[in-house]
Amino acid sequence: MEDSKILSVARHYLGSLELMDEVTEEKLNNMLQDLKTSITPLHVYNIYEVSLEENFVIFKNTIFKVKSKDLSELLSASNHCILIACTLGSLVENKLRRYSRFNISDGIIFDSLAAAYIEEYLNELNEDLKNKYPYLTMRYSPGYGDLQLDVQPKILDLLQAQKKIGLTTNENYLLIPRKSITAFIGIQNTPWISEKKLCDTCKLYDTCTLRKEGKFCGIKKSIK
Amino acid sequence: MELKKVLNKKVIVFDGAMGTMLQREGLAGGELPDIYNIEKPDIVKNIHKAYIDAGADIITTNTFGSNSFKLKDTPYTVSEVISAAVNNIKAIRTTQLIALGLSSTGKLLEPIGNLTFDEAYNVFKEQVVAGTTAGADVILLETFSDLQETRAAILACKENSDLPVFCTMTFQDNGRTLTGTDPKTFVNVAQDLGIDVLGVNCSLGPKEIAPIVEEILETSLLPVMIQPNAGLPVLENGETIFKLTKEEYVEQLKPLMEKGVAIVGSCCGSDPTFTKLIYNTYGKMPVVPRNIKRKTVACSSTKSVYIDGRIKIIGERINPTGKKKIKEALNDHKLEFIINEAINQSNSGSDILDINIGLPGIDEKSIMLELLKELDGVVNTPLQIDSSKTEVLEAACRYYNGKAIINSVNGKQNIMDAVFPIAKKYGASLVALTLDEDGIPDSCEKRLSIADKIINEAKKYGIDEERIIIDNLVLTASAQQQGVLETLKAIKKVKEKYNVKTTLGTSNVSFGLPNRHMLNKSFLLMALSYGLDAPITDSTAEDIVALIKSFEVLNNLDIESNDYINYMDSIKSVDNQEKPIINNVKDMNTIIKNGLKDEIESVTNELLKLNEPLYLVDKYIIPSLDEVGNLYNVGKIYLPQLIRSAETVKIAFDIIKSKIKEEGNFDFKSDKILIATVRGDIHDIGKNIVKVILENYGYDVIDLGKDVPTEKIISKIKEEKIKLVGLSALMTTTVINMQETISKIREEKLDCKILVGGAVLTPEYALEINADYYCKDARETAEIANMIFK
Repeated sequence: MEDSKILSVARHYLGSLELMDEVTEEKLNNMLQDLKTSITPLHVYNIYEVSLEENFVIFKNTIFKVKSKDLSELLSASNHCILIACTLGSLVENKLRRYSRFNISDGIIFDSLAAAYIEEYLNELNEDLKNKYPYLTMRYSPGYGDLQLDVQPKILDLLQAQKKIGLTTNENYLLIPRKSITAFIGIQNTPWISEKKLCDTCKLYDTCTLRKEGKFCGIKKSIK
Repeated sequence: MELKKVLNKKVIVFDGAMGTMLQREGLAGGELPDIYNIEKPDIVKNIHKAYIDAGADIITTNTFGSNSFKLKDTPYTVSEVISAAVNNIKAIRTTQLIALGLSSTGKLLEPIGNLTFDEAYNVFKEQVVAGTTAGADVILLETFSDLQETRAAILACKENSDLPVFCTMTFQDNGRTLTGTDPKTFVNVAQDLGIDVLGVNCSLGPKEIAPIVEEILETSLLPVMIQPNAGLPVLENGETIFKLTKEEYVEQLKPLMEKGVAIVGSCCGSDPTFTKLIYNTYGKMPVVPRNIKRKTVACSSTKSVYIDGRIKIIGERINPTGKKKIKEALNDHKLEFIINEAINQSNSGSDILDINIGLPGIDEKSIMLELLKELDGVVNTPLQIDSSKTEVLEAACRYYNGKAIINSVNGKQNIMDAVFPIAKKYGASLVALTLDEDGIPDSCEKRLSIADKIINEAKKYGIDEERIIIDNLVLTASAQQQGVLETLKAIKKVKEKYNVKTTLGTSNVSFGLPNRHMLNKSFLLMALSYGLDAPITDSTAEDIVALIKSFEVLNNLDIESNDYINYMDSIKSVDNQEKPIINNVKDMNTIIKNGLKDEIESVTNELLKLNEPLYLVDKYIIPSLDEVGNLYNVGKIYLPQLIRSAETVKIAFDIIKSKIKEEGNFDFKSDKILIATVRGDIHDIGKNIVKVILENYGYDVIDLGKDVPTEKIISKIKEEKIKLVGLSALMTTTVINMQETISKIREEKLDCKILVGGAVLTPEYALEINADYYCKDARETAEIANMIFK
């Protein structure tokens, strides 16, 4: 993971597309070193044979099936689906709490860095997977489109994520520790081409100020 | 098998994996294996039988997930599943013992997650009672990765069952559990909670697990148990496989067995063939003896601090006596200052922190527990709980995520009767004051005889002398000059007689004399030379730390003076750093705009000499804030700068508020605003930004934090007569809880306005859920607040 990429994404989350003021930049750099030396991101994934039935995605040999039109569309040409979960862990939570104790401004910067870090970590994992399985769909997380959050605890159960990487959900389906991501990635035999842009399926399409400025909230995903 | 006769004498063999075996029988992914106890008992029994035939001495129930959370969506109760599981083994065992296998709730505890300690305890209690009633012989707590959850489970066992308790945690290959606990800290905390066996299971294979097991073997006074995986997992064709053969497994166990492991089994990826070979190789062999000496130690969840040899500083600053700011923080229930004191002391070299919040008029117990929760994970320094109230000591020791030091017990019989049971139950170490019903003694000898009494009484509870830290108490030199030497002699004598450590607060000695600091320092040095191990002092005083480090050089403790040299280098570089010379006194506007927190204090004080406080607010602060806000709105500065400016203003505001209070012309009553992130939601950065901005505009912000239930919000509104409430939620799933909170507020006809904010909120939705205003960001919140209150 390249520092410059992580910093760039973190700046993005802080609202800037370019270098920021001196103090913030120094903090960004110091905190990134702190993150890198003390945190081990963890992940767990598995590959499942999937089939589609109406708007359900059925995971064979498991008790798992997901109702989502958008996910079904995404996996329409996939026989297999990767389920992946990753987290920066609870020690990052503690660091965030500590930074926030000193200054909210420090907390904001650290929070953006941690969010950028987990995103880049998953991007790297995604790239590794692409080396093994060349034709992957984009990755699709709970909360995108009509894929409800309530699928999150089931993903974690299936992957035994609590035991393996300490990732849990609370009763509102929020991932805890917070700097964590779960995703579905379809494996195809042919290159994946998307008809829709990510924004089209977002709930905040109408009110999103970023979109109105021609920007994205997520990282620009490469659409092959 | 009679456990008592065999435990720690002959190697005991446990069974192996159940999950792996059930998968071979068709268990589907995501399916709960525990259900098979009721729905497919024969399959389960066959697996148990295979392990029995392979030679296992103890068989574990198939109850890894049999708790109320995980069984929620099944038609079965915890009791039903656990009874069935125990009975499945009962039906076929002969001499084998039944271990009730319990594991994590699957949820993270506070403060990272939102499961409370008591909720976790109750989940475990239900399982423990069911298993004990059903006839299990032993309770096995396994695959735990969080120390606090482990503590809750252990207490649930000890308080609800007489069965022996075996406890194994799971470690990552970085040598710590998922929430950061290292092996020796686990041992130090768990071994004094009344369990019988401890160790490690899962996560790694025998080779990778070896350093962790070795650390446990070197620290544990209890027999050690290990159940590694059959190697590291690999993903092959969508299947997770463990590649170690049984021969390799057993071979890799050898060095660990030779170092004294008492109980051995196997975890993921293993099967009865593993157990058979383990049994044939190690079963019933004599356990290799270890000679482990107990050491004096205190622990947080991630760190053990031993008091042995090197001088350990116990930070004294969190104590309301003579500390105005701490008193204020406690009276106003704004604990930030105290938490920052803890962080500062920890950064400046305190090895342990004394926490004393004894102030009349506050709810000491509940604030202590709140403080412990806030510090958990944020400060890794172990804590010393300082209170004269036994209910505070009891609660603190119960809920502290570590091994605390109790400050204090003394020679009075009623105090020993009250405090020793607490230390015993929760595994705490103790500071013991050598005073009794006759008060503080004059002589060294009398101090020693009180120490005798305390140490012998402690032994009746099974508390070894290594858990006791003697405080010989010093009186003031101005009144009892001869007493000073008596205290010092007692330090030396008590350590000659017992394997105890010593502590002492030094500031009493100088009371009533000039240049107290000089006397305190000198006395400290004398005490160190008499053998004082852990002075209670102020690590933020550089000269104190320097003195201690010098002592360690001269007393041949800091070999080759490495620590001393490093320390002196580090303070030299701080001194040499160019302190920014403030040539032109920058004006307030520039300081606020640039977030120069170091400079705001002096400029504010200067301006207050010539101007009324409120004039400052109107003429300087508010316009600067507005300007900064505008720069942010047009994208000339970004969020971190905005907040830094706001934090700078806060400093100025605190000074101005104190000035107003001092002048006493009127009571500066700010308008109160209540803010909270609703139940189920733990996002709080946005809310925290709102708080800082609102405080800038002079509001008194009562922040209830995150994941706040409706009832708590309502009772606070009533208690403080709140007129304006701000609610935050960031997820579609928690915005519903926001709606519920608002309905309840309306139902009770409380006279307050409600603002809402958060990423998923829109003006339309805010109307729908009956809020009064939608705020798109912190600045808008402030504008609307200004409008409402003005």
